Amino acid sequence: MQVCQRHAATTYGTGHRVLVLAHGYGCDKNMWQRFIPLLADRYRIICYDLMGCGGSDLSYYDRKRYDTLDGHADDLIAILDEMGIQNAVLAGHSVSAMTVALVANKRPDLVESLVMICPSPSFINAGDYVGGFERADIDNLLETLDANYLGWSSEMAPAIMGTPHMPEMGETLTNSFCQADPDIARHFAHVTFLADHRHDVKKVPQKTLVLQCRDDVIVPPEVGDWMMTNMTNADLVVLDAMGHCPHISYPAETAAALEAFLSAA
Amino acid sequence: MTDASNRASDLDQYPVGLVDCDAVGRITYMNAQMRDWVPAASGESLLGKPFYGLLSPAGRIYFETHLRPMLMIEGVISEISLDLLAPAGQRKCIYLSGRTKLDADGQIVSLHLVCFSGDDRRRYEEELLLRRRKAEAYEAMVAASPDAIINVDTRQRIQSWNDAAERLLGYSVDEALGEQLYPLIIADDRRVENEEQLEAVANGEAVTVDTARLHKDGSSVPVEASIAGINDEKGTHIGAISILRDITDRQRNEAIIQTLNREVVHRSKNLLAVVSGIASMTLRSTPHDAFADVFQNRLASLGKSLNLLVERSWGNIALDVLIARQLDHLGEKALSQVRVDGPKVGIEPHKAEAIGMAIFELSTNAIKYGALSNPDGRIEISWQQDIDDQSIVMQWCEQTDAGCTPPTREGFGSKLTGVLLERAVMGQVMADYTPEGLHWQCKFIPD
Repeated sequence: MQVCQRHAATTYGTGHRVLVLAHGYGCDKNMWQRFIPLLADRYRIICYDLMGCGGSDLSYYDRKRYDTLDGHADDLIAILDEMGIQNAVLAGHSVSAMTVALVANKRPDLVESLVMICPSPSFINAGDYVGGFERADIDNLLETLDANYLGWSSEMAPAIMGTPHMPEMGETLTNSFCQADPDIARHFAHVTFLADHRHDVKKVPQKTLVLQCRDDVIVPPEVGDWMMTNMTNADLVVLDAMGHCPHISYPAETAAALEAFLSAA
Repeated sequence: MTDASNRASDLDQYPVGLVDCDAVGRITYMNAQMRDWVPAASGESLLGKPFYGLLSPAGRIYFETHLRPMLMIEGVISEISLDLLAPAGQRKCIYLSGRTKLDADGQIVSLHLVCFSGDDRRRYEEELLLRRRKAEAYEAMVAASPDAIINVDTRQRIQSWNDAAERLLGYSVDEALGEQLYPLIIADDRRVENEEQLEAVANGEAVTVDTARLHKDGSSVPVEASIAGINDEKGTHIGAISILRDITDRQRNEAIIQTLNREVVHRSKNLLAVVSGIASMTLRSTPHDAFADVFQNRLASLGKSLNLLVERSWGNIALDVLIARQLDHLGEKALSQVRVDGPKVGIEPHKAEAIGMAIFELSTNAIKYGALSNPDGRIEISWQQDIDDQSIVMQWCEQTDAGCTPPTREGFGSKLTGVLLERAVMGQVMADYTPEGLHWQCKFIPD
């Protein structure tokens, strides 16, 4: 189970169907912890850390491999192959919605259907396409990252961010939540916010749930419209929710939407 | 006034921005400082609007990708550097800390955020970052330098030591740092010199000098040392930097050049003596009207041997190459009448010069009077080397039906192929004018 170990992959629950959760840019698989208990009695749920995030083995972070989302897509394929899983439901949050789309195109045998939570095929406005941001905003984001890590080494960075508390949440989190090696965080920000996967999304043949929040500062409503116009087999569900992380802020509503989609599928 | 409104008015006194939000981040309260930093557009209220809406676009992304998950999962964030961007356009650097409030079931009830003014600290941190990057750039330059760069304090203790220094002098960074120049890399006999140089740079001079440093293995490494003093921003002398360049190759080349210079002078004198000898001998043995041609041809022959010597950097010259060069004036027809055969053997330069001229004389005589004056004539040039004493016996055998006429008098040509050659190569020459043609041989040691 080398690949699974490398990505700190964990399995929860039991069930006939397999649901794989891929976290987005900025955090790690702990993002799903309020969400998983709501589905664990009906699905076998696998979550893992993207290479470079959370508990993944950073020694495998190869800038060239992860210069595009293909590297992350190949990782997910390797995890599924190693676990001998086929026909899984792949759920990706934010940038990972594009990663699961790439997997669906590369290895359709692995994918039953897709769930895209707050997806955006391209964050930067281009012609008629509304991505929500200008290139300058993204450059500014990189500066914000610098300001918050101050270019310090990864050993020092955690001191800048919060320390875990709230034992009420049940699980003790590591200090590494939402921490990353500053260089990797910067690189992944580049890959995430400068990528354009509109072409890949159009090719996805599998049934797909596009889950949007009504008031998402990162993904404007126009992106949902674009997905509906350009994807062949997608349903759009807009949650009456705020923010970019409905599985954290509105876990019950998010789980219900996912459940409705999967039971119809 | 109620207690609550008293309390709210108290909160307006704090010089920090205070914001309360509901569980999903909609603003429910802002104190006066906050309202001052991010004034609402006229006629609007920010109450009920999302907190992230107060941030710059980059800050919004950062909030949603990092801070919201942290607040929701971990319940706290602290000292996050962000920019506020008011609807009315003002921008403000802040440090954001926050905490979530939970109900009895562990569900999030509200968010409580504090914004500290961060303009000064941001400037300071940006400066720090800039300096850090600059320092890293300098470090990278020093590390990449092909020259050893060594920095010492005023007590000659090594403060920095780059990769090139390790390559040049053998000590690793760990071995070198903190050690004193003497005795680590300065030999006893250079201690005084080094101290004088450090004193000079402390007085503001820059020193560049060819010297030597001690290698870890004890050997002495010749270097060009450029040394300069280092002052802090107040102008106080705090140490020195030395750049050491390995000059082993340069010194070796300089030695070669000096040897070559001496060699050139020596050989030029020899050459002038040879030319003057050829001139006077040719003058004596050649009719006046033929002098210019004969003299020129002999000089050309000498020139060819010299060319060969220069091409071979005054090293030994292969006998077959020497012969071929001296025969190339014969032309294609005559050359087809000549056969050259012998083992590979190198001739010492001085001897090669004499043998070259002898071959040339033999070939001009063959054209004028010998085998090459007749279209059916043949010349066999061959040599063998004795395995024991390494001596070479070289033969020049002409064969022609027309026979040959022995020279009636001993000209300079026969001296060049005879007594002068014997002297130059310290060998023996035999010449025999047989009815078939000239049989000539020379025995000599090639080096």
